[in-house]
Amino acid sequence: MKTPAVFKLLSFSQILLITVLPFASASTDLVNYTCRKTPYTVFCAAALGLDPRSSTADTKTLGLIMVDKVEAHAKSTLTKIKYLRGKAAHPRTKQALTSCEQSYGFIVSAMVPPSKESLTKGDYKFAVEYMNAAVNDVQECEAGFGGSKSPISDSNDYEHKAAAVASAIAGLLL
Amino acid sequence: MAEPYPSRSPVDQEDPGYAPLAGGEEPRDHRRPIRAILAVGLSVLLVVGIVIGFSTDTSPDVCAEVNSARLEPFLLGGAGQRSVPVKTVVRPVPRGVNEGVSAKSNRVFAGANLRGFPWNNSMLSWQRTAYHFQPEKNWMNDPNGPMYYKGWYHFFYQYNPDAAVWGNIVWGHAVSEDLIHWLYLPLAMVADQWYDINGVWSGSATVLPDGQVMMLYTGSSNESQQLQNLAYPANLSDPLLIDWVKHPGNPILAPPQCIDKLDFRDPTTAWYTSGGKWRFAVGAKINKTGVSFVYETEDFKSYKLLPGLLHAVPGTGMWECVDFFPVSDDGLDTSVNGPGVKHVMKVSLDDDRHDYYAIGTYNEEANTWVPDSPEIDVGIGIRYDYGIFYASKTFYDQNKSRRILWGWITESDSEYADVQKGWASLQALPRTIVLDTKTGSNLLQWPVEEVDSLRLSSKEFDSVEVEAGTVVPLDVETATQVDIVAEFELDKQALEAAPEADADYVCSASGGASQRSALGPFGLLVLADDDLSEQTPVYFYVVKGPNGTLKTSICTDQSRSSVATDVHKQVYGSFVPVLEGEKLSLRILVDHSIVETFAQGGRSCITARVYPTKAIYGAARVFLFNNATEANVKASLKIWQMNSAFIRPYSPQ
Repeated sequence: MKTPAVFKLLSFSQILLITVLPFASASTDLVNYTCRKTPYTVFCAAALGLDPRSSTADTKTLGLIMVDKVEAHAKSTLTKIKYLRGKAAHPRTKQALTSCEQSYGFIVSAMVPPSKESLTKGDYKFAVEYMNAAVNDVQECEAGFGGSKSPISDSNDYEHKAAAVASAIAGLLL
Repeated sequence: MAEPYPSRSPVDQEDPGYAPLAGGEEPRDHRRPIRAILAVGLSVLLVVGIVIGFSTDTSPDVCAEVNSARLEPFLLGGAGQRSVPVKTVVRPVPRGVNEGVSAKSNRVFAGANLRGFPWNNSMLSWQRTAYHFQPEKNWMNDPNGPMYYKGWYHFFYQYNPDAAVWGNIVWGHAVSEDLIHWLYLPLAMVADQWYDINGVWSGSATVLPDGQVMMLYTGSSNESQQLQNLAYPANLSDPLLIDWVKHPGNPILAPPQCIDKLDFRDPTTAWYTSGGKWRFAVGAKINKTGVSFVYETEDFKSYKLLPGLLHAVPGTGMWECVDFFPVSDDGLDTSVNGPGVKHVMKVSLDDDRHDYYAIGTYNEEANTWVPDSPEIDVGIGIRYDYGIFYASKTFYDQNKSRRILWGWITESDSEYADVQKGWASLQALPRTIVLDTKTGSNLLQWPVEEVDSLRLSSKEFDSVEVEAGTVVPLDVETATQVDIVAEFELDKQALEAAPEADADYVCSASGGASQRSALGPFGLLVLADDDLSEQTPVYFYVVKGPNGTLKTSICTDQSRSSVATDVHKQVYGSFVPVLEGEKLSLRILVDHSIVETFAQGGRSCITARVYPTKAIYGAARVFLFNNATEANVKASLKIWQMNSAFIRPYSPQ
């Protein structure tokens, strides 16, 4: 008996769905699995989930995505810092912002490149070390405002989390 | 999580040829007898099977063994615990490192002022050493290919020509006639081939009996794969071995199929077997088990992966910079073997950035090495050095028949300061390595005797009484480049009267030199200023155990080494065996921002980096101290001023 075309189509698409579905949730699974092992699970899952690369990424690539976030965010924060410094009323605020500019500039020029190289080439301990250093640099920037909340505290918070998560992901690969 | 393996690389030598099976299609003519079909089918299968059998590489597939039950005992416990060593061997891991937080960030939780220290050029330039190997600028890491050749000691090193942070790695090169006075040569190898374009990583030298030199090394390829390669001197009659040639047949090895392409590196020096072949090891990991593969070659042209693993230890993670060599109370050539010869297995653990070794027995025929004491197996037991010391490598010095150890000493200040000062990392002083025949269960390390040639004027202090709770200044000139040899004796009455301690002392978990008890701490304060606002204590700490046995620890305390907040503030150290009748002895080499300590003739070693801001130049002093509450201590010591090694670029006379 000849099978009706519609049944053939149905069974074919059923098989397709069954084979594809596990992969679709597997990638979200990897993001969740990885983020649970970082200090900022929710932040990590949100930041990675938003990036289209995360659906097919392995752990190493998730780390690279996070380092990209550290870099991109540092660059945009630098622009913000320069703008705020131009408007700053207090010389102390100006000074603190200059110090932050140094910290963020340092992250972009000296901490991001070796972290990317480390993750790409498989000597992961350097990404752990340099992303930790980035966390410290951000904390120094925030601390430069003498204990009160800085005008860039939201940016610092994001960068702190992004760098800490990047370091933790690299640590999972050791 | 296992990742799918991409298609075979052209250099993969382990894959058997694969011939598709000729399957029989269902015959449409029902009149052909089934038996005939079966007969034809089976004989086709037989023929194909024979063809496959003869065409494939007949050497056993290590990966098949890895996946089978044969190697399971080695590999079980993938993500699991390291077994806790029975003996009190200390593995100080900075709190928080396991959580992915840098040891330096503990300063953040110290509250108060979190700003980085305002380093000035005077402070930063003081940090450069006078007699330790370091390049003129930029970043250095692993020692590579050390060897002695035609009157020169050669030293190569991982180097970043562009920055004071890791990256863009190539091979630096320096030579010396005495392991001390180094002369910089041009870069030996740069990243100029597809198989090492992303990094010319670590490797080792094998000097053949006929004078050829085989340099095996890891390359990070254009696809970021880790591949093993061979290089050799362009001109063997050039004693400086300035130019190097990469073997046209590179790469010689790709990772075995069961190994991730990013977990396969650092080939060792080769050893010559009784079967007339050369063998060398390469470290890797399978899940969380650190492993070592062994390759065999006759001519350094074709290579065979031997079945089995030289050794594996679950839970230790990636094995970097594997080293494998025979030991006795004297130096031994790497190829020495025989009944009663002990072999050392050493690994650098990526997980905690420490170097571990164990002593055991090598079975050449079975290609295995077994530790004497499995509870202190490699990676879970003894370390070469309880401070900062990684990626170390030994070589056999045929010139003076000794085995010499090199170790990479990284910075423990901030990366920001490293970039400011324009350089990062040192090498430890080269150390001779022998088996401690008195204990039989550890190695002894000692600075090579050529270090003594740097000694200038000295001052001797005999039987100085250091009462409990006192500090005694030692009148030497400035103390930034000194060699100190000291002996200590604890007051016998206090020893007898001291109560039994209720716990073992662990340097890294202690309060350092300010944590007092009946019998310790006591020792020396180096890189200390007059009012002790900055000080680096190097001390013994003695506790009484059950049955009146004494247990001694040796520690270096960084916690007050600098008022700067952006430097490590840890206490390093370990238990050190002290045998009946032995006095407590120390050798400390201070060279600006590095302090190398050797206790009990080198049974326990600690290398620390310190960055004082005030106890520098003419303000650096040395003191004896005794912070015990009960025991007085008698100290005898000699302190030498150390000359500079004048490390500089080579220039022909």
